[in-house]
Amino acid sequence: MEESYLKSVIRRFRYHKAGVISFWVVVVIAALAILAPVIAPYAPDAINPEFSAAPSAAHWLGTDQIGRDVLSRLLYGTRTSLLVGVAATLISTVIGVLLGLLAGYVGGAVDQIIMRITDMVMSFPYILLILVASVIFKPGLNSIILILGFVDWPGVARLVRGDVLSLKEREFVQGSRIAGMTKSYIMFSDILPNVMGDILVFATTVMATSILDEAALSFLGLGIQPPMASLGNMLNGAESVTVLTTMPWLWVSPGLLIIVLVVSVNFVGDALRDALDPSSVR
Amino acid sequence: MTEKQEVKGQEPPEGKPASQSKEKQQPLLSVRGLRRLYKEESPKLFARPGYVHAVDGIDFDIWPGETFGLVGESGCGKSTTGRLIAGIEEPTEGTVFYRGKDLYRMSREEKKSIRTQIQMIFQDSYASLNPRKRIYDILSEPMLYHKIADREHVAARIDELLEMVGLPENAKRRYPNEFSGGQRQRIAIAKALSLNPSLIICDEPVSALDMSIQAQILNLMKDLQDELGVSYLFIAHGLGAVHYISHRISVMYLGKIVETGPGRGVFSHPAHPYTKALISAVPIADPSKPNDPNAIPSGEVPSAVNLPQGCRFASRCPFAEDKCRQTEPELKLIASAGQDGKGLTEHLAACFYAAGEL
Amino acid sequence: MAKYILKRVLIALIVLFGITIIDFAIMSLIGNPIELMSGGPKVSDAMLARRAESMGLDKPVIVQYFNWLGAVLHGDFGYSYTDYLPVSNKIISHLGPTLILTVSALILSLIIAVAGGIYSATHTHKTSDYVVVTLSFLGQSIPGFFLALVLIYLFSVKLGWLPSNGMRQLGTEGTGVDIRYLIMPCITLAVSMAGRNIRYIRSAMLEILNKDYLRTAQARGIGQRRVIWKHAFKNALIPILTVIGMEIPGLFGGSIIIEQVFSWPGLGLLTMNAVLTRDYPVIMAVCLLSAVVVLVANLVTDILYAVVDPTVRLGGKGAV
Repeated sequence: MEESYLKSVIRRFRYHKAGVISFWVVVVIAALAILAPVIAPYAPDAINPEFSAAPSAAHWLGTDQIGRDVLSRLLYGTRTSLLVGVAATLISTVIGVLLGLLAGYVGGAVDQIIMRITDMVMSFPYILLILVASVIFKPGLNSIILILGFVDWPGVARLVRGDVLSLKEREFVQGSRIAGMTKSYIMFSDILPNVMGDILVFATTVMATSILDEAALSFLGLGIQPPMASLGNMLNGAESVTVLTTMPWLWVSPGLLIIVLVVSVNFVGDALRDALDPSSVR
Repeated sequence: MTEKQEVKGQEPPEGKPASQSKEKQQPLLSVRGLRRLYKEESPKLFARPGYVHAVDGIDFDIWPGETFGLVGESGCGKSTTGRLIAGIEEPTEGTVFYRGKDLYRMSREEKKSIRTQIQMIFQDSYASLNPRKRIYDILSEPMLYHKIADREHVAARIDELLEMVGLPENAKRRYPNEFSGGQRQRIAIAKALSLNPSLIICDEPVSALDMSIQAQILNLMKDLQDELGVSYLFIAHGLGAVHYISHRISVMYLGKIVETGPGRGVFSHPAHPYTKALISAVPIADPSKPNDPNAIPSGEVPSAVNLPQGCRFASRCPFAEDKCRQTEPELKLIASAGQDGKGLTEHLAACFYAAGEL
Repeated sequence: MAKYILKRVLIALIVLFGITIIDFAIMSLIGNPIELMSGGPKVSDAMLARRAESMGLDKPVIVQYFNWLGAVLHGDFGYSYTDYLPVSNKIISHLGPTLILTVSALILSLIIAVAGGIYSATHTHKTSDYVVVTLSFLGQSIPGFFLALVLIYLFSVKLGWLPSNGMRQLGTEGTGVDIRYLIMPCITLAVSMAGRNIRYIRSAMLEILNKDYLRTAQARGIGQRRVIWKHAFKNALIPILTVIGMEIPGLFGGSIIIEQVFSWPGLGLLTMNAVLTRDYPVIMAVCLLSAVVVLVANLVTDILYAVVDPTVRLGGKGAV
């Protein structure tokens, strides 16, 4: 839609080598995850005769204690983790953007109320909030998405509010006010497109933390429940000393995959930040 | 650009707006006792908040087809005046009548239609155009919203507007960042004109531009005025551009109008010492006319929070005497080139010295 | 200044009030503590009703809220559902280890972040700069529990250098901490914090180093090292303050998982056990306490900002 602007962003994105590599890493991981049903050598919960087998030609990453193929579970687990990351980010971004726009543009009492609620949510330690929520709601895929989505929005709301406050004083917004345009036109047509860049960059951070939080929660047994695989609950078994010491193939690969995924998402975010804001130092 | 050269082309008409419209006896805009105070919270506990007197009770009229210049240093309240008239701020006191109707006390429908009548052009032409929109969308959206053009005719109207401001037709497919400052200001003018306004508030529209571009934009604005009969409220910090384009000029100092009159009268026979100082700050090309050393103001500018008792300019004025520090002077007639019933020819100044009362 | 502080305190109090309401609402939503405590149908209804009356549960919700709030203000958080001990006692006994862990981790992460950030800022666009920045991304992206597992695998299982469980040897009495037990949990907690903050310190340092007076100082021939340490470091206090302010809210949250993996007997372990056994009074007390800590930390940071940088309190817009 915006060739010239988009083109210049892409051009600047390309300067960031780590960002470009990371972008392709994320694309490949996402493709593998989406194609899991096609490329996985085994069904994710199919039980094979070899229990706790070390990596071999038949099972590239070995099998777990009940004989499931680790590589297949890893592919399906990535699928789950990515789904949680993307969905939770979408929810929190939408909530945060709407509240931030409202607080910033309407101002006054509305702003005060929204910002105080934001303060309240931010004052509860993040993980604690998730833990409490996971106690109240039954653990599972949907509840973890909703929990993470509803916990992450304050950061987005603050960011958008700050941007709106500064954009509000810009002449083109005042011009729209003088021309008598409606508030919703000004918010969604004048202001929002100019905040999109910042939102996008922030969303990568939210996605990275969402993936990490899902992993942590599932590791603690409060997130994705077996038999469904997620990168976090695949690490769950490693809390036992036997698994930790004698079966590293069970926990090394999901752990490394989380790191690669999160590092890549963070690098993409960093490259985006540079690409969208040419004045940034670097 | 030398002042003299530019003036030759068109006589700054003394009380004769470039185009006369039907409403001869009614001003387009009447500002009455307009006042805007800003609360300034004191950082001290339990201290009373102070008030910044941004605009401190001003009156003036703008007639159809007229360019009214409003001049003063930054912080004198000239931009606030523009924003108050444009309706993006509300006055603390006083009001503005548009064709006899109170701008701040009207129904929703009236407000909506008035919104198209008064438009604004800003100094920062980059910030005045949404960087994420094509020129086509920037120009078309307000027109469609106010049903000034329907979807079928809007494209033709945009071509027409672009031609009027001297831009090629293909400009509409591009984004603001692809244009120079002068070109962007042309787009901003087209945007303001798109709603067929009768008054355009121009807040330092050329001061960010190069000298040569400034003249181009000013000439464009003059031509558009001749063609469309639109009025301008032209706000600037120096007299240069204002004098070139304005029929009448008012000079503001710390929220008050200190001198007002026909453009040529104020510029060539300034009465108030502050106006003299402003004129001496205008670059003068003629070497035989050196700057008047007396007119360069010295001394502290009083704060707009704690205003002095007497004349606000007294602390900087080379002619100030005790009377000036005790009583605040009011606008008094200095000269008049005849009666027209509109006060267009009257030259007034708020100064005891100028009025010969010292 | 006093006015600014008063304003911030008032806002914090409003937020705190809201938090107590949310806290209480969650607790009420979860269910009637009598039913939760009795756990079965054996107790007669009459008994339950009498017990409910003695606990004030027959009163309207608003009265219950203010009774609860009153008790909380006196430090009374009720009794644990699992062992019937006063919640406040349990919290106090677990507070120490968590403080030791979080404070030491915060200090360690600051040392890493400041050293890394300054090093990186003074070697911009050299390979070593990119290495530091990449490492910071890595540190930020490693899940704490995974790093913990790797450390345990290496230093406890393979090398046998460090113990992986608890904070001192079992059976030894006393209150001290065996430093060997602290090393791994502290590093684990510090790495992600340091990763987040290296780049922040780096860009803050770059901004300071680009300021004119430092350039003139360099031009006057003062050695670069002296310039950095003497002038720049003083100005780096604000970013460091920011980092501390940003990290405190997350510190306790981060320690929950770390304490779980290392069986560190702090508030995190207590919370985790409470979550697993649905011991609501403990969970709610921890929530409330940590919210208070976060609020106080934010308040102190805001005030310190205002002290260091007077424009903050005048340009109130951004601060509110």
